[in-house]
Amino acid sequence: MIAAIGLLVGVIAGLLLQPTVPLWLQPYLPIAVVAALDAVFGGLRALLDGIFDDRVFIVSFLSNVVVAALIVFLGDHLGVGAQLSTGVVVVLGIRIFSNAAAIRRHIFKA
Amino acid sequence: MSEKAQSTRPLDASMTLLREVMERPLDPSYAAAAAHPHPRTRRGTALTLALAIAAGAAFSVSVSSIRQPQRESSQANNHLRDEIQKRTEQVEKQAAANAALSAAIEVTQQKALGAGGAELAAQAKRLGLAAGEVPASGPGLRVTLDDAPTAEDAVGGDPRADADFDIGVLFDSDLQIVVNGLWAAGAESIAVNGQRLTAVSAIRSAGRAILVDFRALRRPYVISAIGDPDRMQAGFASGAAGAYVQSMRDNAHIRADIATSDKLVLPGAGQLVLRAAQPLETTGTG
Amino acid sequence: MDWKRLLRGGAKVLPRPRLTRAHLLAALLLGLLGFSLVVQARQTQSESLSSLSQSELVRVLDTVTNQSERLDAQARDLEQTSEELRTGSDQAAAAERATRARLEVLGILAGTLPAQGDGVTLQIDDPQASVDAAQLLDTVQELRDAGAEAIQLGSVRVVASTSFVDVDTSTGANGGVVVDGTTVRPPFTFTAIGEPATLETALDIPGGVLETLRQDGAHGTVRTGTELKVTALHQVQPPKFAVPQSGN
Repeated sequence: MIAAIGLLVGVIAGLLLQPTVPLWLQPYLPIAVVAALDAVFGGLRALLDGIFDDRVFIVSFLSNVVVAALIVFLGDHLGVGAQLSTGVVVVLGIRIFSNAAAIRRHIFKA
Repeated sequence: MSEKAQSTRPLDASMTLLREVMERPLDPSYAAAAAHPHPRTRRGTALTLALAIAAGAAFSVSVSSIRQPQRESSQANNHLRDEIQKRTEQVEKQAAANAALSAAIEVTQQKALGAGGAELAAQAKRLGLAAGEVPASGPGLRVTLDDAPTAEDAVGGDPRADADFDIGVLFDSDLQIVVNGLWAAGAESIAVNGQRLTAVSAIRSAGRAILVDFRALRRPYVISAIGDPDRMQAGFASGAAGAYVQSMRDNAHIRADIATSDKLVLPGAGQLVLRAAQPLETTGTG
Repeated sequence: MDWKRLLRGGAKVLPRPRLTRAHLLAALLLGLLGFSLVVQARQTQSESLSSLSQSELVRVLDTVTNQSERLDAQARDLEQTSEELRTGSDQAAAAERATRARLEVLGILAGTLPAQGDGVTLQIDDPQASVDAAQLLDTVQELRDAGAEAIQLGSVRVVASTSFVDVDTSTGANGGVVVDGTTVRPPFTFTAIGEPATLETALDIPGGVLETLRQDGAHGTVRTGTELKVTALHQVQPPKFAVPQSGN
């Protein structure tokens, strides 16, 4: 729960302070956001499954973002940037959908 | 066959990657942590909280930073787009009505002129053809141009930031050069995507859209020119326009196809109206 | 695969039509899906305006408004002609008057008649001989886009079929541009009859003709004027291949 509250506080802080993102970080933002969403959905599902754990949530959130950004970075340098990021987005998307389906089953029993 | 039925391996055992992604979207660490809960220390909780705040801030900052380009789609732009859509529909309707009325008038005029005015009518038809008001048919050349295939799926590029965003995209200057080359090669009448070119027809660009006679064209761009097919083809290829098309093909992968045709039918521009120019009054004694 | 069993079973799988709320809802959603698929497909086919910036949108709106005005003027003209033909007692005379009026317009458009009216003159000084056929061509397009109805360059009448070709410098000739067979050398003087303010503004827009000339080391001077005369004529060759068709 602490982690979730912390996350919310951070989101509000980010919206209020509005710092500018340095230019060299800009290309990695989209995929980092998708990776973060995947971790959030995973956390939500764990919560509904009854096995939520702060530490695991934070670690999965940060590692998802870092790994996704690393893959994009590597891809750009190998020349297969577009393809690698497409692959990452596909995998993350599938995971988000699966977790969302499980969440839906919990909420709507449908 | 009975051995296969007894095999305990599931049929999709080799697709571990896909199975992993689809069947276990939830991080197994959750289940592991639930089975073996770790001792909660104050330091651990504080660190988790700090990291959570940082992660949340980074998330919202990233999202709002990515959203910047969309701010351009402000209210004003949407109003403009709606206005353009409305006026374009009006224009299409008016153009169709004008064309119908024009045709009806011509029929009535032909009948009314009778034998006496036949010479006048013929003169009007000849000049009308030269000016582009009267539809024309005949053999000639058909040049089809289209953007490079890769230019279509430039996904995720920022039009205002990427310098190469527009490579492989056709603009008004490209069409102008091709049309100019066809006139130089001896074309007698030219139409672009069904728009007949007259002395008041302009080929302009707005962003990536090409407009002829104020009408936006859809790709591919088909330029039909009536004239001597072989002479035009040779003249076009050997002139500056031919070299230009070739270099567009080679460097930007523009798709270009030049073909002769036995029968091209070009629509007329209809009765044009001049609002500023008047015939010169000759004040001589003639 | 037991195909026969599958086919037999398939017949049983198809439910008998029964209207429950769920069925209706599903049907409605599928209908919406189909509708939005079609709409989206048609959207992608058309030129998208969403990628244009505000200034570009304003330009497109201007051109559409221009077109709308031209069509309205054309409609008024046609209505008048139609009215005269309908109500005139002497239909033949009315038709003759209308045809003569048309011949005047056609003559100006085709370049066989001289024209006069308000407009602008554009003088291009080109000390570095950097102005080429493409630049002159672009200037003509800009003038037409701004509503120029009769254009003259030097001693050449510019009509629909006017072509601009760079002089072949390999033969030792000095610079210049061949306009419809006549070599024109700097300074280039355009005379264009149209709405003077619109023409002047169009030439001076950012990234427009005057700015491009400056970047190339040339210099353009625009002057508005009334009672400008376009006296150069264009000889219309009788077409050898194009055959006029009646009706539109």
